[in-house]
Amino acid sequence: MAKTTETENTPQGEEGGSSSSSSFGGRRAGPMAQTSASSASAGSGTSGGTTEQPTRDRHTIAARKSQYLIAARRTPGMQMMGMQPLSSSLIEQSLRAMSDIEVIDVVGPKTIMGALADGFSEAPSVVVARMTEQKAVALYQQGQGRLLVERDQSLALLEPSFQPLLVAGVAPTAGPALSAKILVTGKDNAPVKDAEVYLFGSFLPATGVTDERGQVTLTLYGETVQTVRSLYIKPKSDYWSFYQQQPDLSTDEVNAVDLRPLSEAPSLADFPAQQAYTWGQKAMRLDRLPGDYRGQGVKVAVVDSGAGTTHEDLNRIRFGFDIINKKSNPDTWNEDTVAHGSHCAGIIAGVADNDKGIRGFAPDAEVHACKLFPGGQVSQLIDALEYCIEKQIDVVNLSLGGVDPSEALEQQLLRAKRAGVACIVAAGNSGGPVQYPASSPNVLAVAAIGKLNEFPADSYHTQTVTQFVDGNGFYSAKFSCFGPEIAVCAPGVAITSSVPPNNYAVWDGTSMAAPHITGLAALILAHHPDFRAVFRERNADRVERLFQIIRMSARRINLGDPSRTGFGLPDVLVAVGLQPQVGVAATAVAATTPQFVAQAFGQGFNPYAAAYADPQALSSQVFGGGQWKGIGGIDPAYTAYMSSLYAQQARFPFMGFGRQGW
Amino acid sequence: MPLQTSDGSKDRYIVRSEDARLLADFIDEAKTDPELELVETIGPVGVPHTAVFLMPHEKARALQQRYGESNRVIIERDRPLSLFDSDG
Repeated sequence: MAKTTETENTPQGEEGGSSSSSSFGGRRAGPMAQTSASSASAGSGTSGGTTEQPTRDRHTIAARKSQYLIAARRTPGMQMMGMQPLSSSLIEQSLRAMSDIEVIDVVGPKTIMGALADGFSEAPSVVVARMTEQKAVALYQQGQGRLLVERDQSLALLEPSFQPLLVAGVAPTAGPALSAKILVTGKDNAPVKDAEVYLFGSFLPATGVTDERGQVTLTLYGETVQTVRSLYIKPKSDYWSFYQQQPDLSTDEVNAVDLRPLSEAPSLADFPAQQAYTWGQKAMRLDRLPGDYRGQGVKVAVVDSGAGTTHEDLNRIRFGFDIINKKSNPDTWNEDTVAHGSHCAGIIAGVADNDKGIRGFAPDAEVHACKLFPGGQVSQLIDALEYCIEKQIDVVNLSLGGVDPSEALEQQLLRAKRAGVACIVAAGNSGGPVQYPASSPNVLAVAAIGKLNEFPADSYHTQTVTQFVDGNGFYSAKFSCFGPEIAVCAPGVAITSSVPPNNYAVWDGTSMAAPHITGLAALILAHHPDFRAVFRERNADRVERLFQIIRMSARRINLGDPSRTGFGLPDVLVAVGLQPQVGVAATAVAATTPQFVAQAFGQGFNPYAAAYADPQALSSQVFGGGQWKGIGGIDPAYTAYMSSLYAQQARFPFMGFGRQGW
Repeated sequence: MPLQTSDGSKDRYIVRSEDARLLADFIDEAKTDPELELVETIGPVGVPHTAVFLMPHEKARALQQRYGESNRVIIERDRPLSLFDSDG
């Protein structure tokens, strides 16, 4: 059984969520902090209103402080092992010495009898202090099991008689309302227009889009500053997203957020002026492929939202079909209002020779953009596949799907396969069972993985991370669907690619994972010797052989659950036949048989279940085994509880990047 | 413009048969039924395998029952698809 391991990048006991030891640069030192006066005014008004207001009083958003209880851990087990609990006065002194912690109160026994009642020499006390969640997590880690750190919670009377009476009718705006002005800026403090802004409270979020001044005002009813859970800003392009849990919003000042340009990522230095390989392409070793391996002679269809050929990375796409408008104007496939198809097409076949942006996997493949969105339906997907059969397309990228299977679509998928059309399908983003048509036996289903340290710690990509991370920092994306249908996994978190008119955006999704495999499939068909000989003829056997090569080229992603990653992450050099398969060859060959699949995915094979059955083991995986060694008296249940609590509430501090860094 | 998915009382349905003649017969019969409105056909020219109709739900159920036993004609509601980016 495979075991998950702690990431190499995970720091232990790091101070306050500070940055990891990686090469990532720190966040720019608050260009919007305090009273930057470079912008003249801030406006308000939901979804882009423009009420003029002075902006001298700006507030740079950071994590909000909450109230915590901190105390020395005292268990009989510790005394039996000759270990003394931490001194309460020492804890209090230490906390008071930390500038980012506000000590509110110290609660202890009222009498000496109370102090001696539990057999310890010193009066135990609990410090009540305010700090950020990241700081609380850091304290807990630094305490190495000897410190209790708990969020202070509201108590409620449980007597039924105290329940409020039900009343008829609701006045939606009668309660308290929180109104916050958000200013979004980017490089050189320039306002960022058209950024989507989401403010999450306890129920539905307030949403809006920034106006030409980069401003939007959002109102949440029934919420206060203290109950706001998070702020999410999704720029249209050119910047990383921003995500802050428990933001310390101001209702009096403009809340300023300074977005990071994409080029702040070490792997995207000077991007897009300098052409770059994305982390996902490097993980699949595309950057090691000889320059003349470009997928020439292979036809790839991207069934999606079209392809914006105004983009310098997509301007060589010559073919397409607008299925949505096929009766009125089938040639509008090159207008992509959604940008999704352009993003996928860039991953597959972004231009290689322009020395800028992103090079796709198969830049010389003949791309056909089949436009199905907005508004795509199953019947139109059947129509798109008909186009693919007719045009003798070799590989089809389907970063789409639905919940319910369709018998009519299944027959068309089978028809396409028999015609030699290989469909590569995204597994879905619901975090549940693989969606359709990825669940079809006639396609290759792709799950999404991410990699730590490939995105900023204050970006929304952090929300894709689970605590199960392999030794290389790879993890199964939280949103990715899973199940026995998953053939392979591919990079699907923080993927940079082209969006219209001529920009770049970083997106997440199995939608982004599938094009990595589609591009790889084009390379295989163009360059693997099998497809110049035995499997030259277009038929189902050719498609099956292609799928088999993709699976066999995969390096295992060791997350302990093959239903999340299938055979693993395919390797470009192995897949095109330039390098032999290493390590997993025998397994992979055997694994192509139905018997192996049944064994591997059969009932009872659940490594997670074993980990949960052993909380200490789980804790070791989450926090790192070394940290806990030699600590006596740790209650495994408590360890597991804290592990799950912090994993839920503050995932990213464990992962080696903090607010100060990535 | 996106294709109409419903005219209020009718929904889009996919009718498919691997037997082109059977589908052709279905389409011919549908022309005489005012409840059925042919939207388009999909497949090789002259021998389509799929047709898209607008029809009331009750009519679709009746047709499903009628053709269900033969297992040679599929009648199913046309459903929307989603893109799988993080918002999708």
